Amino acid sequence: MDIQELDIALKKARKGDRDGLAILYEHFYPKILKYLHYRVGAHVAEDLTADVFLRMLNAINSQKGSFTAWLYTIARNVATDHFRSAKTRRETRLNDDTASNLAAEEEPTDLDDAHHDIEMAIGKLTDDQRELITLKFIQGLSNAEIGEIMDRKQEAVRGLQFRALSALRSNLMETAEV
Amino acid sequence: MTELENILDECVEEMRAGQNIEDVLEKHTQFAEELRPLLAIASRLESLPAPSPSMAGMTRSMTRFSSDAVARSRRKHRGWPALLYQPALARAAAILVVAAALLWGTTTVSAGALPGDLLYPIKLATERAKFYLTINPEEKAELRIVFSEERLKEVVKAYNRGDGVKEELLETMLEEARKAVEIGAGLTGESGDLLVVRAANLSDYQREVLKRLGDNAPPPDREVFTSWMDMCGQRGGWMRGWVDDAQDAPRDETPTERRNRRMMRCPM
Repeated sequence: MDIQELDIALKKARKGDRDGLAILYEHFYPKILKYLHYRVGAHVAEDLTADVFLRMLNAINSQKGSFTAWLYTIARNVATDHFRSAKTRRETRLNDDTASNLAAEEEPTDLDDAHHDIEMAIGKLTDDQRELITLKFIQGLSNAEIGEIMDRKQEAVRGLQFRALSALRSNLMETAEV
Repeated sequence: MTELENILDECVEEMRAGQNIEDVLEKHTQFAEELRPLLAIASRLESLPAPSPSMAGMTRSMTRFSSDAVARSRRKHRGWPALLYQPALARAAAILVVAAALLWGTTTVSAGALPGDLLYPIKLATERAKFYLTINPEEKAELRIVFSEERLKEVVKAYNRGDGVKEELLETMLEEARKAVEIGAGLTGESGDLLVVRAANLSDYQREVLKRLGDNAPPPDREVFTSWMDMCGQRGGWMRGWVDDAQDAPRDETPTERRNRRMMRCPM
C-alpha cells in the first residue's frame, strides 16, 4: 500500500468512514504488534496493541501531522502506562524477567537461537535504548520520525542510537560468555 | 564522541540504502574496528522476524475495536445505522486472521480437526474469517451450508473415534442450515428459493446419515440419533413448504413480513 492510498484512507477514517478505519487497522496492526512485541514483550503485546487502536479511534478526528509518528506515540504511551503499573514495575526491575518476557513465544519453534539471544539482549537495555532500537531498526523509522515520537532532537537520537547499539553489543557478549 | 555518533548514523543510513558493512566502512577506516560490530548488530536487528499474532489475541482485538467503533458512531452520529461500521472492521481483522493462519500453515492441518483437538479452535476461527471476508449474501448462505455439512462430518468422525454423540455439533449443524435459509429469505428472485431447496436437500442428506449411524449404534445412542434425525426431517419439510406457500400468503404482505412469517414456522 503506497502513501497516497494510506492518505486517502486516513482522510476517510477521520470522517468516521468504516472502510478508511478498516484499511488503517489492517495496515498498521502488524507494525504496532511488532513494535510492542519488542518493546514490552510477547506476553502483553497483543492486548496492548488492541489498546492502541482503541485510543486511535477516540482521537483520530483531532490527529494532525504524520499519522505514523502519531500512532507510534500512542503505542509508546500505552507501553509507558503498562510499565507504570505496579506489576510491571516489579517486572522491569528484574531485568532477566523482562528479557524472558520479550523472548516468550506461544510457539517456541518460531524462534531460532540467534533471534532468541538478540531478543534477550534487547530486553536488558534501558527503556529509552529499547525504544530507539525498536523504532529505528525493527520498525525502520527515520531519525526525524523517532525524534517526533520520543520528543528529542535528531542529534540526541543519534547519540542514543550509538549508546543503544553499544549496550546491545555488551549484552550480547555477556550472553555469549554465559 | 559526537563525531563517532554521526558517522555511525551515516553508515546505518548507507546500509539501509543497500551498501554492505565493508563498503560503508571504507570511508571511515580510522573508526572501522569500533563501528564494525555495531553495524553488524544493526544488520541483525533489521532481520528480526515479525511476531505471529495468536488467533485469540486477534479475535479479542477485533471484537474490542469493532464494538468501540460502533459505540463511537452511535455517540457521534445519532440515528446512523451504527452497525455499518462492523463488517468492514471485521473483514480487516479477518484478513489478518487468514493471513496469520496461512503463515503458520495451520489452515490445512486444522481442516480435519475435531472438537477437543488442539487445532479445532483454529479451524473455527478460519471459518469465521472466511465468513467475514465474504460480502455477497448468496455466498454467505453457501458458506453456512458448507459449515453445516462440515459439522455433520465432525459428528460422524467424532462418533467413530469413540467420542460419543456430539449433540452440540448437531445443534450447530441445524443452526447453520437455518441461518442459510434466513439469508436466502432476504434474497429476491429465484436465487433465494434455490438456496432454500439446497438447504432442504442438505437436511434430507443429514437425516439419512444420522439414520445410518443410529442403525449401527447401541440403543442409548440410537435414541439420540433418532431424535436429531426427526428434527432434520421436520426442518427439511419446513424448507420445502417454504417454496410452495406463496398461495397462502396475504396479498399485501411485504417481503420482510413474508420472511418473518416463514422463519417463525421453523421447527425448533
